[in-house]
Amino acid sequence: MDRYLDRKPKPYTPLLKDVRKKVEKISGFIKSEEARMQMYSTIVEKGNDGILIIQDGLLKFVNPTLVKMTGIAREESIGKPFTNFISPEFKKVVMERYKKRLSGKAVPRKYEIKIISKDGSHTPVEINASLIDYEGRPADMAILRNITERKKAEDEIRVRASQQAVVSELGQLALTLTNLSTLMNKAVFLVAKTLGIEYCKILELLPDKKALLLKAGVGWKKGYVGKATVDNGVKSQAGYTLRSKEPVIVEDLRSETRFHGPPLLFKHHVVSGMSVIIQGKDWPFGVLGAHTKYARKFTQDDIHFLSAVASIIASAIERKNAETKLAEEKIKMESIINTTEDGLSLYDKEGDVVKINPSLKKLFGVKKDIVGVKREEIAKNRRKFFKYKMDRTDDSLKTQNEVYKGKTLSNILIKIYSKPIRYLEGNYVPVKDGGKVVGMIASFRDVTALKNQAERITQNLIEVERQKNRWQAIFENVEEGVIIINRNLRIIQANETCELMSGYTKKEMVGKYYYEVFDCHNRLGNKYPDFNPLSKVIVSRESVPYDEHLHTSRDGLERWVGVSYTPVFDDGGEVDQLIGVIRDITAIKELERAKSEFVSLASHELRTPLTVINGYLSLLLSGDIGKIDGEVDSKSFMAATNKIYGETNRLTKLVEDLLNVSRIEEGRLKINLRKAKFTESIEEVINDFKPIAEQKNIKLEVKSEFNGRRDTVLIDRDKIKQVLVNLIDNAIKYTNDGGYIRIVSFERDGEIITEVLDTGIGIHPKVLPRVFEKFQQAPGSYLKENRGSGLGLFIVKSLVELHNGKVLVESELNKGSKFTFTLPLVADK
Amino acid sequence: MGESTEEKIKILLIEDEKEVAELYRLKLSLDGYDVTIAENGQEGLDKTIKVDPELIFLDIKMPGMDGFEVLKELRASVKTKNTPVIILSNLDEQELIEKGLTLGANEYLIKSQFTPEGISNKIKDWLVED
Repeated sequence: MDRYLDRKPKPYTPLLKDVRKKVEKISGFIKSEEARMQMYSTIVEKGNDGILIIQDGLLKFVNPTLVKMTGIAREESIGKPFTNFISPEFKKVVMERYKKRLSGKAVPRKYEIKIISKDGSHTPVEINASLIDYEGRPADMAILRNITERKKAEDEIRVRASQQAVVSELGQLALTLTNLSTLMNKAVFLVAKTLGIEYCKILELLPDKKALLLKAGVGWKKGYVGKATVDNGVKSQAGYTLRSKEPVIVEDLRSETRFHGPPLLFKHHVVSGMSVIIQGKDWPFGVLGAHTKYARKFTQDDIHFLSAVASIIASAIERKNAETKLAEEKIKMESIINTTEDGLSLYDKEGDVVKINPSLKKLFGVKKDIVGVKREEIAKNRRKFFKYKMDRTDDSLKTQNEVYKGKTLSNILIKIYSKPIRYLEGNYVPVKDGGKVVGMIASFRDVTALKNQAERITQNLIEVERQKNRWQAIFENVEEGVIIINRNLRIIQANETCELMSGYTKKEMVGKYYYEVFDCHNRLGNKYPDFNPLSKVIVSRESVPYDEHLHTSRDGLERWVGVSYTPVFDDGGEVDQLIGVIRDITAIKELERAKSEFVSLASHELRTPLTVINGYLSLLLSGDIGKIDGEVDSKSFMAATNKIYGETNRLTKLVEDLLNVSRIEEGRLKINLRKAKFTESIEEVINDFKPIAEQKNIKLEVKSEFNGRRDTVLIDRDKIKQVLVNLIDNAIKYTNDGGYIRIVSFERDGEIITEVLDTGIGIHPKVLPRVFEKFQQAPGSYLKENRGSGLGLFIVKSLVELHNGKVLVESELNKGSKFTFTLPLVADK
Repeated sequence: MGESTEEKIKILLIEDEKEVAELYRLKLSLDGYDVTIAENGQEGLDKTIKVDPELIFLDIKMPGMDGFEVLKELRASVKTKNTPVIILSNLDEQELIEKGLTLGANEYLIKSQFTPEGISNKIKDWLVED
C-alpha cells in the first residue's frame, strides 16, 4: 500500500502553451509578411500539432502532422464531414461548439476530445479551435495536440488514486468490520470496479489443502460464489500462485504455459488476470484473483494494489481469527471457571477480591458477596463472610504476603467445618505482568475423599504391616518349625526353628527337597521314597493333623519330630503348597522314655523287696524254714523275719520317695519351718546310719566347724533330715566296703554349708549335669544302674530349694563324689 | 530231694541283689542243688567256666554287665551254648522278654510272680531230659 503513496504521478506539462509562446517569440523576430507566411507555412506543414480547417461542416484542410496522427490520408478526409473523425461520445459537444462559434457566440476554445484513427482506435487530443477567414468565408481552424501520453499518465494517477482510496477504505473496514464476509465482498467489488474488470474472487484454501473454495467474488455466474472450488494443483492458477509465492500475472490464459486455467475461468471466458496470495500468519489463507475477459496487460502497480488488498484481507482474517480464538478462550475460561469443582478466587493488586466462582461459594459457604472486599478483611472476619468455620495449616495473611512477593504456595490444607467436615487443598499463585505481581489467584480443591482415602489406605497399610509383622513374628518365633513346601516337595520358605532343627540355614533350605533337609524316617528306618508322609497329603488332599517320625539332621543327630502337614489349594482346587509344622519332640520322647523306664525301674524296685518278702513268707509257710522236725526253729525263723522286716523298710522308703516326688511335682509338699540347731539334726541322722556304715566297714566321719558359733537355722527338720538321709544313703550305697564318708558343715557368708564326701564309684561325667533331675538316667543304661529309683537326688534338690538353699555336686569316676547343700542362717536376735 | 552230695546238680545264680540271691540259694540248697552265686555279670561268666553249671539263673538289671550281655557271651561260647539259661528278673517289659528269648534264654521268669518253690521246680523242667 505504501508503494502506491510513494509513487506520485509526474507533473503534467501543458505543451500547447509552450507552442504558443514559441510561436509568439518567433513572430517577434520575423518582420516581413512573407517571412511570416513562410514561417506559418512551416509550422503548419512540419509542426508537432495536427491542424485542420472546417468550413460548412466539411474538412477543408488537414496538415501532414494530422495525417500522421490519424493515418487517414488527406484525400480520404478532405470534403468529408468532420464529425466522421470524432469519437461518438464527443460528436455532440464538438458540433454544438462549432455551431456556436460560427454564430459568434463565446464557447471554450480549448477542450479535450477523442478522434478516430484509420485503424478505428481513438486518440485523445486537446483541441484548440478558432474562427478564421478561409477563402473569404468564415471557417473553423483547430489545432489538435495528441495527448495520449498525458492522458495515460492522468489515468494512471487516477487509477492509482482510486486504488489507494480502495486500499485505505478496505483497510479502514478491516479494522472496524467484524463480519469477514462483508469485508471480502466489499473487497472483490472494489477491486473489480477499480481495475475496471469483470471478475474478482477470493479463494479460500480448504483445510484438506486439496482445493480452494470461491469464498467471495463478483462477476461470476449465479451460484458459483460460496460453492465453486478450484483445484489446488500445479495446473491451476491459484495453485501456481500458492506455490510460487509470488504474484502471478496472466496476459492470455489461452496461451498460458505455466498452468492451465481452471474450468471456472474458462467458463467465464477469462483472458487476462492476476492473482496474489492472501498470506495468513502461519499458513496461506488463499488467493485473491482479478480477471477480465479482455486482453489486458496488468501492471506492477495493479499487482501492488492487489497485493495490498490481499494483505488487508489477510490481516482482517488474522484479526478475526485471533478475535474468535480470544472469544472462544474467554468463553471456555468462563465456562471452566463457572463449572469447575475447584473453588477459584481472583484478587487484584490491592488484594481485593475481583472474582469468585460458584464452587468457591459452595466450598466456603460464602454468605455475602465478597467481590470488592479486601482479602485481609475477609481473613480477619471469616464468620462474617463464610457460613463454615475453618482451620488452615498456614497463616493466611503470611501466605498472601508471600504470594504477592512472587511465590507460589501450594498444598495448604484447609479444614472446613461443614457437615460432614471437608478438607480443601489451597494453592495460591501470583498473577504477574512483566515480572511485577499484579494480583493473585487462589484455587481450592476438595480433597476430603482423597484425604479420607489416604487415611484409610494409610490405616490399612499400617494394619496390613502390623498383621504382616505379627505373622512374621509368629512365623519366626514359634517353637515349631514352620515350613512352606511346593507340590514338587521343594522348600519355599522356612523359619528359624527349621534352621535349628535341620542344621541348614533358611537360605540353604529354599529350593531344596524337603527330604534332603529333613531326612525323615520311621521307627523301622524306612526313608524317602518308601517313607513319604508328604505325598499322603498331596494324594489325599487332606491334612495330616499329627504324625510322629524321626529325622536325622545335618549334624547326624537323630530327632523325633511331631509334624502336621496342611495342604494349600490353588484356584483350580489342586494342592499347590504344603504348610508343614514341625515340632522337635525329642525331649518329649526322651521324657516318655525316661518315664517308661522309670515306671519299669520303679516297679522293678518295688518288686524286688516284695519278691524277698514273698519268698521268705512262702518258705516259712511251706515249712522249708523256721521248723526243724515240726518244731519252731526260732533261729531260722528270726533270720527270715529280719529279712522280711528289712525289705519292708526298703519298700516303705521307696514308696515314700515316690509319694514325695508326686507331692513336689504337684506343689503339694509343704514345709514346716522351725528354728533348729543344725548340728543336732545331723547327729540324729548320723546315728541312724552308723550301724549300716559299720556293716559295710565304711568309716563315717562327721565334722562341725561352728566352734561354738551359732548354727541356728530355720528349717523343716524332717525334710532336712531326709536330705541328709538321701545323701548319706547314696554315699554308703555307692561306696565300696572299707570306704570313707565324711560329712562337714560350716558357716560362710550367712549360710550353713554342708558337704557329703565319699570315696565311692563316682558319677559318670555324662550323667553328672543331670544328676538332680528326676528320671534322668542315661538312655539305655538303666539296666546297669545300681539299686534305687533315681529319685533321691531330685528330692534332695527340691527340699533344699524349698529352704532357699542350693545344691552342688562334684564327682570323679572311681574316686568319689562330693554333694554340697546350703541353708540360709537365721539372723541374730 | 538231695540223695548224694557228690551227685548234686550244679546251679549258677547270677544275681546282684544279695537278699534275693540269698533267698533262692536257701531254697535251692534245701532242694538239693549245688548253688553258686555270682554278684554281677563278669563274676557270672567267670564262675560259669569255673563251676560248669548245668543250669544258670540270670538276672538282667545288674551293675556293669547286664544280663543280656552275659547271655550273649554264654551263647557265644561252645561250652555254654546249650546250657539252659533261665532269666530271673523283676523287669517285665515285653520288649525285654522278647529280647531275652531272642538272645537264647530258655525262659524269662518274673521273680515276683514266682515263689522260691516255683523257681526250683523250673529246674526240673529243663533238666529232666538229661
